[in-house]
Amino acid sequence: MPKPKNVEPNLVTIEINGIPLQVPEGELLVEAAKRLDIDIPIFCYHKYMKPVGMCRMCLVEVGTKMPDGTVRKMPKPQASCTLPCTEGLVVWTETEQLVKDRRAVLEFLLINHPLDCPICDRGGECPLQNNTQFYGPSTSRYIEIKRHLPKAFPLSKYVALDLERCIQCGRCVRFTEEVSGDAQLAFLFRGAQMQPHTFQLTEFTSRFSGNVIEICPVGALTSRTYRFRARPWDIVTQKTICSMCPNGCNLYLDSRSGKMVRINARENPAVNETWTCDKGKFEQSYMHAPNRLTQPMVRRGKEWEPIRWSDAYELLLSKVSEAQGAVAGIAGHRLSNEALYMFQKLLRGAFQTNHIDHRLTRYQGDLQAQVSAKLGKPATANEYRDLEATSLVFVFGSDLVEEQPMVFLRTRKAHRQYGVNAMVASPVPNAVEEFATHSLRYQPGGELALIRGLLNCLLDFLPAERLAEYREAEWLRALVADATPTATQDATGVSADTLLAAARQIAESPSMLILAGEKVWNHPNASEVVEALVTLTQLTGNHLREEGGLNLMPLGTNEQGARDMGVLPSHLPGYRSVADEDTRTAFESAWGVSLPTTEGLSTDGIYQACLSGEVRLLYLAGANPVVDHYDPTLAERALRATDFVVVQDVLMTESAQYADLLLPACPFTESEGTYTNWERRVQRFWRAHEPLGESKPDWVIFADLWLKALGKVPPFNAREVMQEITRLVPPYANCTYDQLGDQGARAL
Amino acid sequence: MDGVIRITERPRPPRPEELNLRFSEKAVKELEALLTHYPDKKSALLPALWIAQREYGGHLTADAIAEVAYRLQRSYAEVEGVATFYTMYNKVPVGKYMLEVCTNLTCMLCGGYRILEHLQQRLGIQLGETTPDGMFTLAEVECLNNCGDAPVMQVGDVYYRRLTPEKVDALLEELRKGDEHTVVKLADAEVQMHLAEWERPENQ
Ligand code: SF4
Ligand code: FES
Ligand code: FES
Repeated sequence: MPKPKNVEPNLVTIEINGIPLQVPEGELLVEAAKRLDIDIPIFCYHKYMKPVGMCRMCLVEVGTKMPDGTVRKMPKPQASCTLPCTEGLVVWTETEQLVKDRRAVLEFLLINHPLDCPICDRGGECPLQNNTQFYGPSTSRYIEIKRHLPKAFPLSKYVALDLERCIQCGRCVRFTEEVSGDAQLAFLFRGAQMQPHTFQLTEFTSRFSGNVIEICPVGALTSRTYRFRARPWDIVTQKTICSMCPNGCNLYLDSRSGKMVRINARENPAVNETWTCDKGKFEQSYMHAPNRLTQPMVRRGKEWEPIRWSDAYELLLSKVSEAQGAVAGIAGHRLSNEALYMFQKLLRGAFQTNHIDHRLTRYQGDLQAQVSAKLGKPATANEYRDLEATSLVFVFGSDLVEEQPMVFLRTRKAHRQYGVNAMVASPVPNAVEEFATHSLRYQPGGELALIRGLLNCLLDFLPAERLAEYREAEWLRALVADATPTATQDATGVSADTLLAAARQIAESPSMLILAGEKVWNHPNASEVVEALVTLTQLTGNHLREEGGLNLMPLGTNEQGARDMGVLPSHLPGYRSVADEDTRTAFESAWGVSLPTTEGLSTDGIYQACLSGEVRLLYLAGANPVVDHYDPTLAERALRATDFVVVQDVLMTESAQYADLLLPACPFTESEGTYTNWERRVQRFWRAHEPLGESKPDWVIFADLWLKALGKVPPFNAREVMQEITRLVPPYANCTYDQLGDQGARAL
Repeated sequence: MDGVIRITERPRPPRPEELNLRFSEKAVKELEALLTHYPDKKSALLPALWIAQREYGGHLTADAIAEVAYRLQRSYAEVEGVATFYTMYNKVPVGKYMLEVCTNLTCMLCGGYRILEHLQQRLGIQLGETTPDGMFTLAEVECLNNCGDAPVMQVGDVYYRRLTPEKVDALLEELRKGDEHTVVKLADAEVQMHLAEWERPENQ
């Protein structure tokens, strides 16, 4: 059964150490105790995995209240991690019996533990150390020889395994089985010989391998990239948001002497629970890359010449006025909302151009008009919880595990834990196929034909009431009449039987959530594919359901933010048309400038204009089109042809080679701001390091230019930029920094 | 992050197309029949491993484990975990005869260890080892549920009871003459036990 959203739990009354407490029925006792800040020591239990009761560390004494008020005590202690709360449960967590039991459990664990804490990365933040400190024996009685097993055995380029330290809690094994789903770790042998390992000691290739390092309660699984680089007590920890994809995982960034040494997950039940993917955890190190830009530079022939910021600004502004409005800007997907907002404000208000975009995919149409207006919902309708509440998740043209790792994990969990069905349509093997009921493996480019085929079948399968509600069934029937199952089989390679079965499942699912990915954005007829997906959503009535709907998944980290912040040629922030007079007036009076009235060019239009000389100054802010654009040669030719190219970026990128002026920007770790993830959850990140060299946060550069160009006072800090956004962009009305807090809020 | 320590890298787990599938037609049929007994493929793991033990000549090689995982659509590691959990699945090559000597309480009191030592001497091997000619493997087991006739030894699916060193010598002589691979035979017996009569390939 899918997990319904917004249900009131049934409360029961229990008593812990004499304190009465109301908790949801069935909540595990170990969780309930946290409500009272009572510490129950654990090893194998993990909040986001099924309890197994393997380690016996969490023992408590329990009893039940009898109708006459007396308490009947159970003869033996119970594992609190497997005990659901029921009415009248009475619990003691600090009895003499328990003190002895815990000591005994720890004594057993320590018999085989090497106690090499001084050279263990876990030392100082180790549950085994902590539990021993508070609950363990103070001296050891064990004088025999300890077992010896391989140490620092490399399982992959990220993870090392020290078998001597393992306490056989099974967390890592359960993680690969329950959460990441690849089941790459298993316990080999049994009893005292039991050890977690990969098959035949082959490489641990999971894309989520780093999580096992964090959940191992001892130093058995450690990070090879962090190994011996710091001790927990000389680390400075900062809260942040992952900048690698639009899933918005909450992270902790740990630094030593101003250098990031590792990344850990930060719990956010609404987003990543407590997981990360390996890309976010291990591959996010560009802030310390050797090719960081640290100084504004201007091109002198083949050479770069460092200049001062003030000269750079002056040069840029003089080139802008020379260009006389023939200016365009493309922003990258790692810019914060604050930076994106200031970027379009600068270009529109000070440079008087609407040639602004962020899209590097083939699809550059008017998403707002195409989707939101029709469905009454934005192009991403759902949130993580909906993945568990819906009955069917349809992954369409997306390599989900690669593009949206955390959404993949949650979809998989929804399937495993709540029986949510998954379906996948992909031209190549796809990780979702592992648990999908139907897999529609179509020939590349067959997206449109496939949806039309599904629509054709659905018109037969859907109940008459649904079709009546849809109203345009007859029109649609005529439109897709040629897309019969056999015709679709010919066009896509998906067998007619599979297609019919898939359509039947869609028709029978009370709700469906579509996750559309890269194959849609880069389809040659992307607009038509989007249109077809909209029709599919409307036909099945899923735009009306909270837990259903269409999600055109952003691909870049803050692509959603760029859409919301109006880094689009046609829309001001909040998806309001630049042609609309009232909207314009609102922004004009807020910014104190007049704004251009005609729609600008989209990315490809900008390139063409660069080639034809209609755009003479191109401002790339954090964008690297020479690599990231779907047609890199077009981007490269455009950059070559443009009179004056400004590149503002963190690194010396491929596109920066074509620049005339280079402005060094800070990465997210050196500035403050917010990212908006795919579910339109706005989340804050905090400054962890000082800006390197002379680099500045992107939004500061735009604010400086705003001041120099117009003589108007810009916002003073990122918090103030967000305040301005909350005033002018209705969905962000509740997104002031104070309201966002640690866990963010959805901009709806 | 720089400073990644490069210790020897691990080999990659095999891709499905790289597997060395060896199940005979008969084995595939048996497995198919077995799968109909259970709600999901995972449940057929133990009998499937017996099939593999038979097909791979008495012990489960890495290939055998991978093949079972492939055929049941489970992860390699999971199948290996199960295979290494149970002692009756052999993880190393064994002889034609697996001499399993009981040394649990009753047998111990009645001379189980004497039998074991005698065998070690006669065969010149230690526990867990196999004679160079690939005839015998020596193993120690727990109670065989035949305490009344202790000391007991199991070879394949036959029990030898009330053993004395002399009886053991005679038995070894006897066994040397046979040419049956009792380990493979036992594995086959296990498989057939799981199948209904009409499901056995020879009856189809
Ligand atoms: S390696 Fe760590 S997580 Fe895995 S079983 Fe051992 S102690 Fe538990
Ligand atoms: S935490 Fe409860 S048994 Fe391990
Ligand atoms: S003790 Fe050997 S058969 Fe029971």
